Amino acid sequence: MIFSIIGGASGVGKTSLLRSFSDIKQVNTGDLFQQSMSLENRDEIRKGDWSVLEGDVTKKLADISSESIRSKKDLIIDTHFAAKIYGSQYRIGLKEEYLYQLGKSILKLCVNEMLTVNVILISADPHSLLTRRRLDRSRNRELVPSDCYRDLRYNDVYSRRYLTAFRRAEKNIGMNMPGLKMGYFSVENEAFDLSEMQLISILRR
Amino acid sequence: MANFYWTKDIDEARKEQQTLVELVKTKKSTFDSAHFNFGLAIGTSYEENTKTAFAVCIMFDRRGKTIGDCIITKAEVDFPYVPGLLAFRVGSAICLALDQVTDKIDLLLFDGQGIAHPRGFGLASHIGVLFDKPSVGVTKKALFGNYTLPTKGIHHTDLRHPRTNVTIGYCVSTSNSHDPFFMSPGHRITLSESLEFIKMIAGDSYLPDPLRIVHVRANRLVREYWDKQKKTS
Repeated sequence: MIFSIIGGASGVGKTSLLRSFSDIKQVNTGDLFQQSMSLENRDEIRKGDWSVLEGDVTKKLADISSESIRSKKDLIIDTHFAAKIYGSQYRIGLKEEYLYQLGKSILKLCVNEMLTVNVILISADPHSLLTRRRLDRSRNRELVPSDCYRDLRYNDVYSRRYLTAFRRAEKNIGMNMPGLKMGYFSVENEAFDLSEMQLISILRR
Repeated sequence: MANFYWTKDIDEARKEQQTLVELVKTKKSTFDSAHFNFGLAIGTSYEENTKTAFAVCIMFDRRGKTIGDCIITKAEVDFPYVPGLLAFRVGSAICLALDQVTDKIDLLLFDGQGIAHPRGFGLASHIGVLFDKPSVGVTKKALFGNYTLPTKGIHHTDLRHPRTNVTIGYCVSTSNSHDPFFMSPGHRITLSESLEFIKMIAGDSYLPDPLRIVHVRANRLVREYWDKQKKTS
């Protein structure tokens, strides 16, 4: 089974890339937060304090992951490694403690299985991201130019912590897992076809 | 199309500049002098009583000859005059104009600073980064940097960073009869390319010709606007 967490800054082209993998089950953490917050508009999430819902969302992710593992189906978690909170500060998309719990719950179910865990950062040139965000008609908020830079930078930094949390879970699970592989990948989405091919090589190994 | 957010807070504006300066590329140029067709000269002014920013833009060719009519845009902006933060006062008016023509333009020429700025992020760099277009800033006075005046005639001297002594722009004289002006690259153009470009279009006035036109027009516009407002109120 291949379990992948794919994240990146908003507007980086993650969702478009993931359309090519519609045969793989995908879960979007933004949708889970939106459902939990009962919001109509996704943009509203980052204005508020979504951290109180992290426990709920982690539990939902663990349930969905377990279901995939039991049915031996690959799973992609579509997320942001960094997200704005209270409309200004950036922080990790899910706190490391929750990631650790999620990692543990998944690994425990796969002790004797073949499991590949991928953490994949989709990134882009900040100028391209700025242009994409500016031309995006679906956006209903003003564009803070420095956010493009900060969003990319924080996603880069925090993406590595996702892998670290899963490695910690592996270490602390106390069992030998010969079938487990973990990897970190960075895909720069400048040319769509190239990025798609890169993702295919990671997700369909 | 999303509108850019312009803060009204001075400290936040400085922080925004300090972050965005990371995106300025003056060593990685996308400017191609051989294929240059059209530039856009951009002048700005601000009417204090009505808190209205104006942008006056005109297209020009590789000889600096202006093409067509001026594009004039205005935006209500409540931001004080703070040296080094001009973009936050007039940026929204400029963006309204650029949204109309930016696709046809190879270079943006500003009546404002490029990298010769306390935080390396003057108006030309700021708007250049937002639209990811080659940009150059030209002013009558130096805001930042050390220099010696060039001799009259067609000459230039370096404008140097006060701490590092690195060249960040030039003081350019184009005639015997006018004071020199100051220029620095804004974004996506190198120092030497920006100097060559300015020499190519400059003419022999106190500012490169297209900029002189928008500069005069923008200042006239602000006076006319206030006169009209007084009459109607």
